[in-house]
Amino acid sequence: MPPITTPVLRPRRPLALQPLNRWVCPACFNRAVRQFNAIVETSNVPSVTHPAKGNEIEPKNGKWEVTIGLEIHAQLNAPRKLFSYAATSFNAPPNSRVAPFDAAMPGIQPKLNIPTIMPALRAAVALDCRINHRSTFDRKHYFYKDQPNGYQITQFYHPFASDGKLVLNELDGLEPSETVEIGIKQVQMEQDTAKSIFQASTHDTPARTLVDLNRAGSALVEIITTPSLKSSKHAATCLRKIQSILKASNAAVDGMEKGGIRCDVNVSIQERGLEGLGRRVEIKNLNSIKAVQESIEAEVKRQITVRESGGEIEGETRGWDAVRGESKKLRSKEGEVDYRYMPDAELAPLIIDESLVNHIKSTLPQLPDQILSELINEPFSLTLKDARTMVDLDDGARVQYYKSIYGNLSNRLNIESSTKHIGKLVGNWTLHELGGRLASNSIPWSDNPIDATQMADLLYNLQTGRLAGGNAKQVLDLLINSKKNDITVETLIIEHDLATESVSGEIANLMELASTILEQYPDKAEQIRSGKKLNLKNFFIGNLMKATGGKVNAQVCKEVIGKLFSP
Amino acid sequence: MTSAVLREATKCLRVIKEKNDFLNAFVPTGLPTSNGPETSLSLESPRPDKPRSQLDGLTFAVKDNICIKGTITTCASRMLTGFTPEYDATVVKKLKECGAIILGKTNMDEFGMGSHSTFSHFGPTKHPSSTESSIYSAGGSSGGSAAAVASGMCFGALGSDTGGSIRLPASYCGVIGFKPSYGLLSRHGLVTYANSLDSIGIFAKDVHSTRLIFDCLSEHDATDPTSLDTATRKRIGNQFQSLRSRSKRCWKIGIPIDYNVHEISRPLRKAWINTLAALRDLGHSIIPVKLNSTRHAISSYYIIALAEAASNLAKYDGVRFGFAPRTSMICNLGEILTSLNKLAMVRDMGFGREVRRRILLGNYSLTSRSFQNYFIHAQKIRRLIQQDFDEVFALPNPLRKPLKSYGNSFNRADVLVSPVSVSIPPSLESVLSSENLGLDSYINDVFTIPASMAGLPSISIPIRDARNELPLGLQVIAQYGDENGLFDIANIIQQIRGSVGL
Repeated sequence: MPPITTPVLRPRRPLALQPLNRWVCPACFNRAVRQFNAIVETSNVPSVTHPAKGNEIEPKNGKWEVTIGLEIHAQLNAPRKLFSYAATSFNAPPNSRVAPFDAAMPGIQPKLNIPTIMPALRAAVALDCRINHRSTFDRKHYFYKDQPNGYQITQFYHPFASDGKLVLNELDGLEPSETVEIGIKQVQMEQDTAKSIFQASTHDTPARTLVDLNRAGSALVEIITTPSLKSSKHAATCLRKIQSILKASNAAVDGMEKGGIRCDVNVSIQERGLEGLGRRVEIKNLNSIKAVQESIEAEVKRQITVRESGGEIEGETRGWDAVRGESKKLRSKEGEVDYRYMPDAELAPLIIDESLVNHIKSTLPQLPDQILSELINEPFSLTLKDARTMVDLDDGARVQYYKSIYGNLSNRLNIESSTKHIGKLVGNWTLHELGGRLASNSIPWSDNPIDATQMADLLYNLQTGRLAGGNAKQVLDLLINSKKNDITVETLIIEHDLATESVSGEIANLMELASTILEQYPDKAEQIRSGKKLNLKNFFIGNLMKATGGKVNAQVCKEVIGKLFSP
Repeated sequence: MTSAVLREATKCLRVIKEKNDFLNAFVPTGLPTSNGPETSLSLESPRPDKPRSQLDGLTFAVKDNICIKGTITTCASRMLTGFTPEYDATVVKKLKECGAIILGKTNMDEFGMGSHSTFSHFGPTKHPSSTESSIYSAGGSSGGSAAAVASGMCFGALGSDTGGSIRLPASYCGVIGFKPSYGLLSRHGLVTYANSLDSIGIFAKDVHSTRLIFDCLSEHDATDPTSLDTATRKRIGNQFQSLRSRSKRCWKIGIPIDYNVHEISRPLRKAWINTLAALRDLGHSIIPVKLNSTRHAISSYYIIALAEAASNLAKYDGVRFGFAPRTSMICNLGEILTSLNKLAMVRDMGFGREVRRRILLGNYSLTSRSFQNYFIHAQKIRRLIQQDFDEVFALPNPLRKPLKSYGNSFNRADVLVSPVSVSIPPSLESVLSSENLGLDSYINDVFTIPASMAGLPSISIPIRDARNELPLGLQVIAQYGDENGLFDIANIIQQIRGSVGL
């Protein structure tokens, strides 16, 4: 067995060999070499750039410290491809959205489509990146039938954005004490590949691979995190968060579930307390958050088993088999493709003016974190759980709905005291009452039959006491089942006689009714009077409501019972 | 159609018919008689009474790496067998708009990689002065275009120049060969060899015609990302006009002393010296200039050009167009091929020897192991070469900020004059045998490569020594964008040739 080596960068090996040399700019090569030498001399490779509180290893990994980095590819929300005039398409008939450049026709040159930069900029700004004034395009070479040019145009040496960050905390489902800061090393623009479709053999055709060039050349952003994630759970949380940021900033439309976002992960383990990172293994082409989490867990387990049996981790690329729940080796470090990166001589550097960046910053839609903290604070005061559910639902449409009901209602009620209560009430009705009913009727959010005004009307009646809770729910049911779009809450209340009887004239009757109920249960009344079991009041409130047939709202019943017991 | 046009075009067709079998200037897939472009159809089709331009009705040949809609374009490679573009290259479109008649496609070194038009899938082009007993090289890679113009098959021709591919065959064949400043003629439709160096250029019999053709083609083209935009063209024009306001009587002719390599053959050295003497006698001043980075130019050129070639030719995988081996070829191997094996086979069979060699070298210099040592250094040298030129020219480089040392224009030249090659055209036999041995005389490129690396305009002007039956050429290089100065001097040199009887 070979001894376990400390995997710091090796001094004798030229820098260019290091797989992690992505940041090395040819123009700054000397500086990079100096830094490299410094690293080697001090043998002090910082393992984690942002050691954050609560960012501990999972105990089951024992003495092993896990380090994970993500490379996320997202299809940009751009109408045309990155370097050709063909329209971006996800569902068009095969090979119907192909410009000559996308098919690598000889003699055709790329032309940067300026509007594709906008969603990319939104993504980078949303990820708190520095936007580089000047960035360049490079060619990454490899042969594959879905890569028509034999290379992909990407931004290897000078990406348009770098040094971003992302904070994972309670808002993302971490423990309240946990806060993890994830560095975003760079964000780069690049071309997507074509799609290859494998076709099994039939009686008249042999097995073959069909190529659909519709996707070829579409604009992607690749987001590369620093190796700062410490567990599969954090990796999944980070990915989920990046996905929601991309959607919220309108940089990407489709998430992983539709193949709009794909992910590669880099995993390494190292004995706790040792400097540096272990040799990293890359798992490619993961297409769900579940696959990311599971493949990391399996990979960590595999690496620990290898190390604990005295073996050494090989730098390699693996593929994940989601069905079997295991990864298999695709190629080793030695068999690694040398991408032969070179600057594209035809594409001028991209110069991004600061005024454009400022414009993007000022027009960026609210990000999930901002919306969340808005929702859990005054005046909305939702619970974190409800707020998160609301943000995750329907690409933010639910939040909009919630806010417009809240706005409508608080204007009409004009009450200062119970805003907190109103926020929660609207939240409850938006998420649970309405959400539950939509779900049980299998109505998607896009077909929600109740608009915000109707909902505000309903809650207004509930809040002013005209509708009792149960009856309000009945109105909601009627609204959902009504085939008429323009039916009003008012019509339904009158049609179905659901209004609470006018309180002021009836209060004496109520007192009378309540007194008779009290007389029926003298023991219980006595216990309240003596102060022994004050919560028995609820028993009487309930009975009183029952006796009125549900037409009197709970607040009034509570007052009446309260009065009867007052000294 | 006017009878003069018809007469001229018919004459060209007759010459092609007579001579092409021997010279191999036109490729078989691009001959006017075969499925060639325009051809008889456009000769017969009615033409407007008024000429559309000064090129109206003139005949042209186009190098086989420039796309013509509906005409097979192969770059003289098996790899592009049957490839028929669905569009016209911008320069072809412009020629057609000017009323020019495009006769066909000319032979070349495969993808432009070569100096003698020998590395062609269709066999070598022969020098127009060749006889059955003594066959000479037409030069390359645009040898077909040069031979076609020289032998009277057409009025003018388009070629492409990456490191001398227009100027060298022009000098061998005794015609004008002009490579404009990089970015002036659109490359849209030119099949790429090395895209930071490739330029489309012009062959013609005299400087005046060359200028006419250039003026017809030179315009900004939005489909070529490296095409110089209209505003910059205008700015350069105005800037140079104000700097050179008086009509120029006395030019400063620079002689790059670093180009005076010992390999230059006697007749060439003599032609160079005699021409300079004649220019001096006409009242122009001759000044020696230093281009220090010249000795590194060839090696860095081959690194950059080959690296770009390896990348640009990566698209030839047999999937979408061009050559794909027949199933029988695959089945003979008796094994199931992976797609990567298939690809390797397509490229092995589709590319010729020289192209494979250059791709291999290019890929080597791009590997992560050698990128820093080769490609980056070569790019630095390229920048030094550009600076060298900027320091010797009287006009500033309009695309760069003025150098600090700029200001002392006393010893600066308007243009540079040098040979194009070290010798008169070699015999095809000697070329083929040295190619077979894998020996390349890279030194022959020393005069043409620096201007390519710096993107400067340069032109080859034929000189025919009375005692030599074979022509040779002198090259004029000017500052970026100074095509006017270049053509003016070229004209003067062209006249000397007549008056002093060189």
